[in-house]
Amino acid sequence: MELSPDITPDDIEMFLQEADEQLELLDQSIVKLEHESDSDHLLQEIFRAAHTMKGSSAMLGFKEMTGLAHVMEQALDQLRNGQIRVTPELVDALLNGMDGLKDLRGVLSDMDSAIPDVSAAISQLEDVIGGGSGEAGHSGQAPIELGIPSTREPEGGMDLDKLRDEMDKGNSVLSIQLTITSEPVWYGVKGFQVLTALQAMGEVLSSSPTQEEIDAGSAGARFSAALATEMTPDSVAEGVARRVDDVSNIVVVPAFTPTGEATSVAETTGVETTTGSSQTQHSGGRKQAIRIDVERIDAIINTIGELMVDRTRIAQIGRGLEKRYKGDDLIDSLSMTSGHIVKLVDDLHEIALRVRMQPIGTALGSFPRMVRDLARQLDKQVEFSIEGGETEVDRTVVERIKDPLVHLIRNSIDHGIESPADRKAAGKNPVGKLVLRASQEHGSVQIIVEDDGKGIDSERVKKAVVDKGMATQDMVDRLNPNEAIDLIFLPGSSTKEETTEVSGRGVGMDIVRSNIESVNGTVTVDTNVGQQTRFTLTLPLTLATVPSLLVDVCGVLYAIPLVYVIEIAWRRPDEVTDINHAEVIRVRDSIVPLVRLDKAFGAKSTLSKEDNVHIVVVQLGDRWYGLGVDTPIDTQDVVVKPLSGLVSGSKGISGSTVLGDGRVVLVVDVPALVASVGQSSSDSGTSNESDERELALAG
Amino acid sequence: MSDLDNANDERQLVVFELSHGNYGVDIGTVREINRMQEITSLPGTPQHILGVINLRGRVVPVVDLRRRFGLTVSDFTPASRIVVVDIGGRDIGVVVDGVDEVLRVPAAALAPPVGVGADAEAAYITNIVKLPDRLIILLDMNAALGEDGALDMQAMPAAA
Repeated sequence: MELSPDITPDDIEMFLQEADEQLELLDQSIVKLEHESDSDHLLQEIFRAAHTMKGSSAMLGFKEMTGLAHVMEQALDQLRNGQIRVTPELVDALLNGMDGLKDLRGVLSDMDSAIPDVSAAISQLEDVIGGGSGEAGHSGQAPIELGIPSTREPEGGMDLDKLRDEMDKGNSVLSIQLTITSEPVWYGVKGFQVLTALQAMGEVLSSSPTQEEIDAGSAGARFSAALATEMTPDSVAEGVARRVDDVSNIVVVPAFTPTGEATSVAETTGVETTTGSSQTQHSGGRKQAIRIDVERIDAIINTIGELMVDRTRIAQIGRGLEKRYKGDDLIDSLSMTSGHIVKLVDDLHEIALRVRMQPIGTALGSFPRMVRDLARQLDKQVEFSIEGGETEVDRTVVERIKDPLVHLIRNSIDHGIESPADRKAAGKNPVGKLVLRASQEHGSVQIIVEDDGKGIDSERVKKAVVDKGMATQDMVDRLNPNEAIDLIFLPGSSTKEETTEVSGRGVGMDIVRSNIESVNGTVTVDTNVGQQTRFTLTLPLTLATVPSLLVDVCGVLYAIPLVYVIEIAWRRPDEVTDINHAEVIRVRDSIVPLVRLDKAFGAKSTLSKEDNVHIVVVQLGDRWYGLGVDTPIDTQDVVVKPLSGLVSGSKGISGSTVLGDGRVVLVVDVPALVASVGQSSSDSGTSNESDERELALAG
Repeated sequence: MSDLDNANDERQLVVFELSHGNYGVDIGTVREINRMQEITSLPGTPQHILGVINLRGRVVPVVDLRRRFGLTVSDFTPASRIVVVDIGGRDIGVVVDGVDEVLRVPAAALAPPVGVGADAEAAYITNIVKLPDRLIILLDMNAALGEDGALDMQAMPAAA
């Protein structure tokens, strides 16, 4: 492909970063447009993004992209002026246009690839705007427009040949905007001074007011100009401020990045000589951000995790020394210092963890588009909303649950929400509602995916399971409706008779559950036939530390992640009942399988038959289990380290951690533990009870 | 210290005891030698894996080589040590009955392992070191501990 000469790899890199930002913005906002067609703000945002893409691609000399972005911008402009209205066709055209921009963007990362043909997208857009695109065409000959940061488009105010010449010379074109703060009678004089100052620094390509306007005495307080110069925006701003008094809000930005109406500049290089007044150029208020390799962050967090262990150690040693050398000055200052270090390390740890946090709405930014596409593909009407998108979650957690969430949402649209006709017939609003609701509650994050579709019919689930030979009719008949619904989490239990392109590709709810459990999360489902289905995911805030309950089993400490723990109880030996070689206890009003950790881990219990057994009641999905332990000790946030190589296959253990006193604690893999116990206990009996257990536990 | 010419002709070995036998590993694979410390046992692992220890904040698995090689197993003594070896970038602790010395031996003293040693350990023996007063069995820790896919196979040398 051909780009302008003099374009360096750095330029391309910068362009790509900006383009990715703008494309992401477009991705999210175009879909919103369909529902918020009267939002001026949203429209402006989209327009700016398209405008920016056009400007910066023109800077590169990427004609194809400029052409496409130009048509998009035109459509948006007509929309803005009320010439056309938001229709599904328009949104489709804009989305396709954006996809075209994305395809074109891909060429820049791989220069050898062929330039994709976006003419279809362009003509689709042109159809929508109805021939209003005549003057620009789509052949890539879009005129370069300078966005001057004034309220009007600078069309015609610019000598394009001059501009090209300047660019050929390697000069960059800056746009300058400022406010004159003197008394109105001096506006002309000040404007003249500013113009002179600019002329000293480069070639003034256009200005508002122009020299003629200033001479005619029609200058106002606002001044803007385009300047071709080899100076940086910062030094131009400084230069103006130095040479001219009574000017403020001097904003200087490269002209081909967003200007004028396009004010969303990621990092404006403008310099404000006075403070206190708000200038639109900065009103975006975007936080500055850098991209960091996740591995580096993880390395930092791991190192800090080790520091945490040592910090506790140092504090302990300090206390020991204090006792031994009471009143020693040196010891006193040592313990003060170590106390301070303890606090600093704690702060550091918290800060480092927050680095990995990300608002869930950002991570799921592509979802509205996905829902829209799916709904159109399946001829369904879906109103999708994300609530609580600002809820922050560890990005490693987000990454691991994204696929399960996609799956749940696809399922909802495909199987849950009915066709508009069916919904009408059922007396519902033809537009189905799909909500993703995130919230943070005590140390965990809850994500709910809820639709008001037809629900899950437990009878159909039972039938599917029986038909596939996964259980006998007798077995499923014993299940209550809730337990029957839970069967959807069994591998291969999909109820959809025919597979569709959208879901039911053999990847089922069992994968959803195991993915969520792999991050120490849980998933449950509630449904009302004909009314709604709700999946509730409970996830830890972060994977770096796991709030855990420490328990003693035969002298060895284990950590049970608190996310599973419901309550701690104890039972007398006579309250433990044997059913088919499997022990059960009564917790509240239900019968709960008892898994003794000492047996599960092959340790010899130090407790005698007569001792009471302490029980940690844990929840997995809708099921409760009792974990028998010797003594519950304490809760603590632990830094989990995976067990490496030689010992990675340890059964029922998901990792290890080191306590402040140096002891190694094993972290219990609760799902694996109860699953394995469930299977082994059902091997020993063939009666219905154990079959039922197997069914219930296999998920 | 040895000059460069000599370096090629010499090997440095860490010599330790296992059930009264003398064994050695190349000093390059040894990271450190520690006194015995509390070992946290791991459920569901083979018998020769004793568990894990805390090595300055890192959790490191510990192996009983005597069980691995099917040697007589006696209680740990104050002379017992945990030798931490580097296996393909991972640290593994190896419990031995005592560390004797770091030995510099001429390459000529290394003989191929023909017909010596019990079957279980034979595969892990790289050489026999013949010294005037004794024999030292030189072990390939990679082969001894990296077997059964328990370790990352990529980390294994291609020749092993």
